[in-house]
Amino acid sequence: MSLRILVGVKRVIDYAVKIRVKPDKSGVITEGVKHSMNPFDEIAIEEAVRMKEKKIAKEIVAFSCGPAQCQETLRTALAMGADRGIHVEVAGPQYETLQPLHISKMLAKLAKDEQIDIIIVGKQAIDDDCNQTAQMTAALLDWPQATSASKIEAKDGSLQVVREIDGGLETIKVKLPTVVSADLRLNEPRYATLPNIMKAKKKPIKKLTPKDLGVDVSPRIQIVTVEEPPVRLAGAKVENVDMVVEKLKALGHA
Amino acid sequence: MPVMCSLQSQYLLFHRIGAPFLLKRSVSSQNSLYSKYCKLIESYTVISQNHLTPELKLRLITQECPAWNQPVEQNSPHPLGEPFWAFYWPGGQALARYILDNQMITKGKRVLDFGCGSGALSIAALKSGAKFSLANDIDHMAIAASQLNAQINSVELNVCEDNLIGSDCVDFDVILVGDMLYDSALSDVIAAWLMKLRLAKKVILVGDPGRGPIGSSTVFANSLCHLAKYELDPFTKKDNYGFLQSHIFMKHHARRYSRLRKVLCQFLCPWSQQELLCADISLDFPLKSCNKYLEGNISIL
Repeated sequence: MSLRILVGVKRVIDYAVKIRVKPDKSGVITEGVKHSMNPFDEIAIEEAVRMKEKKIAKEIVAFSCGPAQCQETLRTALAMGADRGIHVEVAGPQYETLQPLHISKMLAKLAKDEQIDIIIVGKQAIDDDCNQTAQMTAALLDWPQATSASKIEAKDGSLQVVREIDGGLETIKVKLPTVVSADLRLNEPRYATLPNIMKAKKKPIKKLTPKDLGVDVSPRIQIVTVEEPPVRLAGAKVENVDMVVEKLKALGHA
Repeated sequence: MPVMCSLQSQYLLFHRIGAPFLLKRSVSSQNSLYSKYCKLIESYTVISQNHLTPELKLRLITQECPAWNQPVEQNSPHPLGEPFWAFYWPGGQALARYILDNQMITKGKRVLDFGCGSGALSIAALKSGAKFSLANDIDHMAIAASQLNAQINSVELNVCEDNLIGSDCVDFDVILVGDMLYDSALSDVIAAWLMKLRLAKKVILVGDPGRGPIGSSTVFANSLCHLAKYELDPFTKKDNYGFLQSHIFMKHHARRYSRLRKVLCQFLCPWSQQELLCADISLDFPLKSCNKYLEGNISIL
């Protein structure tokens, strides 16, 4: 098989960074904060690269939408083994109200333009936790979807995907073209090495605007307020089990 | 950087007045400037002949080097910076092969190796009898690496760390551009400059594996003439995700095309037109734009 894979990669605040809300509660602080590729998208890229190494895929296109710094995220994808990148630039307030539906429309358009056989995205981004992009993209394209994948096997003209579902695993078969979303246990992404990082610098990244793809990114939502989670109250120490029971009774838990 | 500027002016002075001792002096002062990086370069690289020009020994980061497989922490600067010079890019390999195989191109000529990286093209030009060769790169580590590689190959080259894009290149006959057209913004700037140099009757040779940006500027693409194609060795192919061949182009002046074509035929005995036509269509480039470009290119031939 010689499939073409489109992988969506999102630039998010690094998973290790403590998130802080802006004083005016309009959003979270992103300036001067370390960003990296959404971990689920790293898994998506890794799976695509493995498919290329197994000669199932012939080309991997990485896609990212957001401000100029998304190019760094794309370079990471290219260093992991994607062949070329597509950056759709959306910045400023427009980016803050960008929704999975917008991304899905872009993915759907690119899938058609680039004659894509498989779209792989992370099952969710760790910033907004939406878990919608894969599903909506599949719907827009009228392609089958295999979400929360933990194992993918290509079998002539179709994929056999093991999905992580509540309380177990489900194995499904989807015909190509298809949309897959990557779950945590699908693979362990590789580290980029110096030669791969350098080579990624000479791989092409095409820059587009939402307009080029015919996608209207004007806001559909208005952010009313962003709040920090309530601060956890300090606990109290007790001497023995009897006192635990007593405390719980007093609090009405037992 | 003031130091670099003075080196450059010293260098130009030499050519205007034609006094060879100035060249010697500038080389030795440059050597001391860059020699402090040599240890660092040596610690990361090995001498490799595993490429299209095995007669050139080049310090490169190869599979034998620990740095080949070491994970790199994101967002933290590497001790080598961005070592473009540590890799022998497909476009550079093919162009070096080409000038080694067609020595008359650089023989007795004053050669500029633009974006020299490892310095391979400068060294190849000198091995092919160039009068002199200037290795030019804006990365000081690349200059140091070029000098180191020149030493290994027992040639003496001139170096320059200035950004020469836009300069008139009055002191050069031949401009070598090895794999520099990888970024569309950068390519556009380089293309405009090369067009200007071509009008000044410089011979400009471009080596490229068929990356995207070379085809994005149609004016530039149409003014390139395909000279030769080299099959990359399996090692380079594996490293460069699907680029199977590397190509040599010559910038030509549209009106002078027929004359140039005659010159080209004199240059290139090994291939016939027909061979090239068949071979190029079968290319498996990952980029649609490249295919388009190559088809366009074939029609020129």
